[in-house]
Amino acid sequence: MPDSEWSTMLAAATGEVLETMFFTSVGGPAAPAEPTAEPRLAVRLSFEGTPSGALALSVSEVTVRALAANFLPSEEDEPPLSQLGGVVCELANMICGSMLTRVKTEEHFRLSSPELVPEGAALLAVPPSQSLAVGEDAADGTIDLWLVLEPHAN
Amino acid sequence: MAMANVVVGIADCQVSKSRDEILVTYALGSCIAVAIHDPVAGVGGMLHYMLPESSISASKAAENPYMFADTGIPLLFRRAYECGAEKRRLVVRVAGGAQVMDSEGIFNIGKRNYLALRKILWKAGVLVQGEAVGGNLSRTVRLEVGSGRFWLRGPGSPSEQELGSPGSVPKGAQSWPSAS
Amino acid sequence: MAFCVLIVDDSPVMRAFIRRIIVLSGMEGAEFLEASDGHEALHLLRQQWVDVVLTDINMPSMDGEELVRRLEADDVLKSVPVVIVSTDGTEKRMQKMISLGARGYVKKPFMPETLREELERVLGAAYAR
Repeated sequence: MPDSEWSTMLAAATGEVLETMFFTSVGGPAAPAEPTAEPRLAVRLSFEGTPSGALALSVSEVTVRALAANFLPSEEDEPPLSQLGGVVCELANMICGSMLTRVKTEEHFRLSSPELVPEGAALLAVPPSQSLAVGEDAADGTIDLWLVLEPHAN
Repeated sequence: MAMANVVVGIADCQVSKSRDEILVTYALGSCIAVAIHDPVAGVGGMLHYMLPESSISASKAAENPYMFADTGIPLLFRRAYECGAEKRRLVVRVAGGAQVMDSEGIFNIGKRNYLALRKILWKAGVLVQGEAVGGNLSRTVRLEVGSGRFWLRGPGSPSEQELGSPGSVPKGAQSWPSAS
Repeated sequence: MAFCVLIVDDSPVMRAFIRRIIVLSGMEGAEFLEASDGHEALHLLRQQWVDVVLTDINMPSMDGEELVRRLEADDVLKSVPVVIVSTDGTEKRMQKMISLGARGYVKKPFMPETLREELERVLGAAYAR
């Protein structure tokens, strides 16, 4: 399957998840997030199937706080950092699963548990496969997405 | 019993305790109508809002809070509570948010209006009993304050469809183009 | 005796999300048990009666598919209704889980009302608001 189809499926899955569970619209393609002092949360998971591969994503902590407040409204002003990590992990899990649901294959995919990736990890130094604007305003944030597919064994 | 139509205009909200009143709003394009009903207190309310967020114009929001989801929806609920409605008894239906070009040429305002509504209701802990949103048709809806029944009609169509009656499966007629 | 719900998912925030939907559906008095994989779920199910199980599929250690198989193989536990809540929305997986004994299926991402409707469909009068 050509890369452009994967890009389309990934963007569609990202939009579907952010709109349905986080009530946040996804705008069009955006420039990748600038490396700034602003803290970001990144998560990675892998999948086995036809094909196998891995998905990673990175979002600013400010954006994750807003998404978490939409997903799990709470009385507390500041949800704990552990909950933010949980939210971005589940976000990645759903985007990956939703993307793979769109793949036309006879096989099931198996997803690993998502894991937080520390800032400065090698994976994040590579330019993302795509970046999408999150929310309506430019200030709302960007989600950077990395998709790696293993070549088919022929 | 003679029924009296109470018209909810654009950027407007009406709340009623009169059993013979029907709250009706017309030509919902990208706007959204939120109808709430407490069957025990006999209170019905309907809001017809145009835009998702009041942050674009504090002065407009002060002048007419019903123009925006984030100012209008809480007011709708508060007015219903003042008439004796209770949150956990409220039956909520939603219609509109069609993907139509509005006067400013903005094409996705319907979807943004819908997302704003969903966020506000979820944060408030309120689930929806029936919805007819998206697509590209304009809708007219009415809420019978006496019975709590909610009816929906498409443009130029004589026939009405009931939405979200107690015990019925809510119809999620959502159909925006997928984000891709 | 309170209505008892077992939520099986390796994501604590997803378990909290599901719990909130069930409470807002009118089940404020429900008792909630949680497990992060099939092993923990089985352990809890052997200790107390549960009225419904909601489970993900992809989980470490024991996944949702294996959990459903084990429940179906147990004379007592096979009568507990299971609803799948999973990112896998393929027709093939849904049919497989139903054929293994799951009574309902909700695909992630989902609107709260979708989960409520599916629980009402599966549980009927036991889940009345």
